[in-house]
Amino acid sequence: MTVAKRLKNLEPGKVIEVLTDHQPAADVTLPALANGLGYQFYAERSGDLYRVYITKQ
Amino acid sequence: MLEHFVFSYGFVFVYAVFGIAGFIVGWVAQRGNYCFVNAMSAIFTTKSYDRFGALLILFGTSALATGGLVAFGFIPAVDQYYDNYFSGWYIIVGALIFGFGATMAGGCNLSMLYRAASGYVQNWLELFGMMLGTLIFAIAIWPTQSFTMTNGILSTKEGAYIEYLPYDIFHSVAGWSVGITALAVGVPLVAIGLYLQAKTRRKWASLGIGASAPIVGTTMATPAPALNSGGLPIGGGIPMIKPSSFLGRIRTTDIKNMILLRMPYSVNLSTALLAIALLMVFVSGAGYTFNYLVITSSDGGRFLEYILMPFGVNLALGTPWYNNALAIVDPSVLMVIMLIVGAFTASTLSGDFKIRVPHERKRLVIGFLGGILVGIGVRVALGCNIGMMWTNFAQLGYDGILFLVSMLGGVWLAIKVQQHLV
Amino acid sequence: MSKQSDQRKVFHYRFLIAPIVLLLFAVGWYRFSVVYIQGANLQLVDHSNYSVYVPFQQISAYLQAMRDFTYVTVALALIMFLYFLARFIQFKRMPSANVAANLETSHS
Repeated sequence: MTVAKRLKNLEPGKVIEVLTDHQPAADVTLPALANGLGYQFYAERSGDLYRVYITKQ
Repeated sequence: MLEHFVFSYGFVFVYAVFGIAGFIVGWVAQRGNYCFVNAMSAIFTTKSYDRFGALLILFGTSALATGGLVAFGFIPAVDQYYDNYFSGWYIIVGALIFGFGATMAGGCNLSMLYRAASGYVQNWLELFGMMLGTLIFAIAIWPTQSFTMTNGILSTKEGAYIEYLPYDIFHSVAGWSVGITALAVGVPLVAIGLYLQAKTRRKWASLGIGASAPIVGTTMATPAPALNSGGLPIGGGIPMIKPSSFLGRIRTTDIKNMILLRMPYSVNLSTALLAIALLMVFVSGAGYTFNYLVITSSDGGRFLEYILMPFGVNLALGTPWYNNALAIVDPSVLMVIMLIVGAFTASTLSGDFKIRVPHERKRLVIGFLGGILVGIGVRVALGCNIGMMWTNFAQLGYDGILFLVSMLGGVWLAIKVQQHLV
Repeated sequence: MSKQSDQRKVFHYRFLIAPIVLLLFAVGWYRFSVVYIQGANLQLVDHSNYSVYVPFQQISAYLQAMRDFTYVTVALALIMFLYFLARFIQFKRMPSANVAANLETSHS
C-alpha cells in the first residue's frame, strides 16, 4: 500500500526502488501491483534482500 | 466417533498420514506463498484475481474429488457429512471478524503458521494473539453462542446431513445425488476460478511480459532501471526468475528450479498439491476422525492448553469450550506440528529462513491484536479458512459460501482501515 | 569485472543453527507429549470428564506416530546440518575477494 501511494505521487518516467526481505512481496504482490497499473518493473535478489524497481509510465 | 471404520489399518496409520499431509501442506504453502488473505486482498488492492481464482479452483477440485469418491462408493456418504458444521449467525459474524483480523495481522491461519516457521516475528505474535483470542471466546462468547446453537436461535440445531447439500436438494445421500451435487458445486467453482486466472493473465500478457524472462513488466525498453557498466541493474543482484506458469505454461527448467528450491511453486501447482493433501486425510481418516484439514483447533486452542500444562493448569478441566468441545489430542495436532516442520524445512533449505522484525514496530502490536481477532473470529465461525471454508466445500455443505462472502467483507474492511493508516 | 562478483559473500550462521533448533523442537515436542499430554489426559479420567478425554488406544497411536516422526525429523535435521556445515567449510576455504560461488545466491 505504501508503494502504491508513493507511485501515485511519482512523476511519469521516474523509478521507485523497493527494498524488502519479504520474498512474496517481490514475487507476487509488487509485480501484481505494477501489472495492474501497467507499469514496467524489474525484480532481483541481493543476498537476503529483494529489490524491485517500478517505473511509472 | 463413528461406530465403524471404513478401512481397518488402525489409528497409527491415520496419525501417520495426517502427519505426512501436514508436512506437505507446510512445505507447499511456504514454497508457493499460499495465503488466502493475500489472494482476497489482491482483488481490492492490485485488482489481481489470479490467486483468488486459484482458491476457487481448490474448493471446486476438493468438492469434485471428495464427492466423486463418495459417489462411486469408495467412501460412505456418512464420512463426508458426519462432521458437517452447524449453520447460523456465527458463521457470518465469525468470518467477518476473522477476515478483518487476519488481514490486519498479516496472514490467514495457514500463512500465519508457515511464515512463523520461516521466522516472521509478526506472525509469532499473531499466533500468540490467536491463543488469547480463543481463550476470550471460550470464556466470554461460547456460553451464549452454544445456547443459540442448542436452541436454534438464528441457527440450525445440528449439523451432519442437515447441512449436506445432496440431502438438502435431493433428500437422498445415495451415490447419484452426491455425484450430481459435487458436479453442481465443483464445476462452476473450477470454471470461475480458471476464468478469473485467464482474465488476469490476459491482462498481464497484453503488457508484454516475457514468460521466460526475469521478472520484468515489459521487455527492458526505456525507461528501464539504471544499469551499471557491467550491464547489471543498480543493485547488482541476481535477477529473479519468474516461473513461466505465471502465464499458464510450465517449462522443464521451471520444474528443475522448483525441485532445487530456486523458484517458488506456481500457484496452480500449489493448489493441486494442497488438494492432494486434503484427499489423503479424507480417505485415511474416514470413520476414524474428523477427516479434513484442521488447523485452528490445534494452534489456537490446544497450543494454549499445552503451554499452560507445565504450570499445572489444565484448561480442559473447567474452562468452557476447552472442557467439552476440544479433545486433548487428535490427528490434527500431528498435522499442525508437521506443517510447522515442513514449512521450516522448506524455508531453511531454500535460504528464505530469517528472523524478520518489521521495520515499523507498530506492526507487531497490530499483529498481536489482529491475532486476537483471528482467534475470536475462527472460534465463533466454528473454524477458519481451512477447517471451515475449504473443508465445507469438500463436505458439500453451504457454510463455505457464507464464510467466503463474509471473509471477503472482513478483508475489504481491513484494507480500508490499512489505507487510512498508511 | 561485474559488481556482483566483487561482493564479499556472506555465510549466515542461522543456517547452521536452524537444523539444531528443528532437532530440539522435534525431541522436545515428543517428550512434552509423553509427559504432559498423557498426564493431562489421565487427569480428565480422574475428574470424570469424558467429553474431551482421548481413549488409550488413540493416544498410544498418537505417541507412537509422534515418536516415528521425531526420528524422521531428527534425521532430516542432521542431514540439513551436515549439508550447511559442508557449505560453511567450502565458504571458509574460498579466497576473500572475487568469490566464484555464492552460498546464498545459489538459492536464487
